[in-house]
Amino acid sequence: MILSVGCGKSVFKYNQIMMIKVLFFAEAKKIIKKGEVDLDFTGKTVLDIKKELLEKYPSLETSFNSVVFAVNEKYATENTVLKDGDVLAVIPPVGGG
Amino acid sequence: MIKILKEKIDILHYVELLKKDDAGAIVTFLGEPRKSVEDGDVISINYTAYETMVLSEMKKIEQEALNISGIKEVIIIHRIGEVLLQEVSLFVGISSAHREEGFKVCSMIVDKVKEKVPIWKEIKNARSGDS
Repeated sequence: MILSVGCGKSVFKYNQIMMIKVLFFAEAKKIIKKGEVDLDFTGKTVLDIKKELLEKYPSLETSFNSVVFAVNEKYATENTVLKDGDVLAVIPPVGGG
Repeated sequence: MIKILKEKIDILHYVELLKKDDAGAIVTFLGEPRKSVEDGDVISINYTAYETMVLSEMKKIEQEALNISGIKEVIIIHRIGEVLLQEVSLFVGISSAHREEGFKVCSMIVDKVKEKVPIWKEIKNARSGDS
């Protein structure tokens, strides 16, 4: 999210920091040894947070080739826009049945 | 009806719940862990889940099925935790006016559960322990 702040004739723009909860399951959970992390996030979309997660956890790279994402329990695309307080789930290939 | 269960599924109980006066057919699918060449001597499968999303995805699947003409009742149950060989991990039951839509919708539901519902399995193997 971009906020604009007026100061006389000058306008400063900066990205607001959002707090996103990220959930990990199956292989991804084993790799980072955590089921969830809270992330300060200055990006905008699922793709942005995917890149941020890969910077934070490079060992996820291989598994990230096959994951999809859900935001607030609904499947999302990489273009889905996130907002403060959202819960992003990293969903490896499912295997129920 | 949709459920996640940690304990064994009481199949007969849920089949009884599928009986309806206006239904001419009950179709069920029971999924079980199996031994296979690729997985070796499987002892059990441990299922984990994103439980709240499992329920919301199952609800969508149930509703889609109930919207199909002739479908009277739908039950979808998935076990989580350790499921041994010959135990049921997935129960799908349909009561329908006629058998054709019952078979078709039961198969559709199983496909959608396998495709959309966030459940993961980890095979416990006799030789290697967890694999």
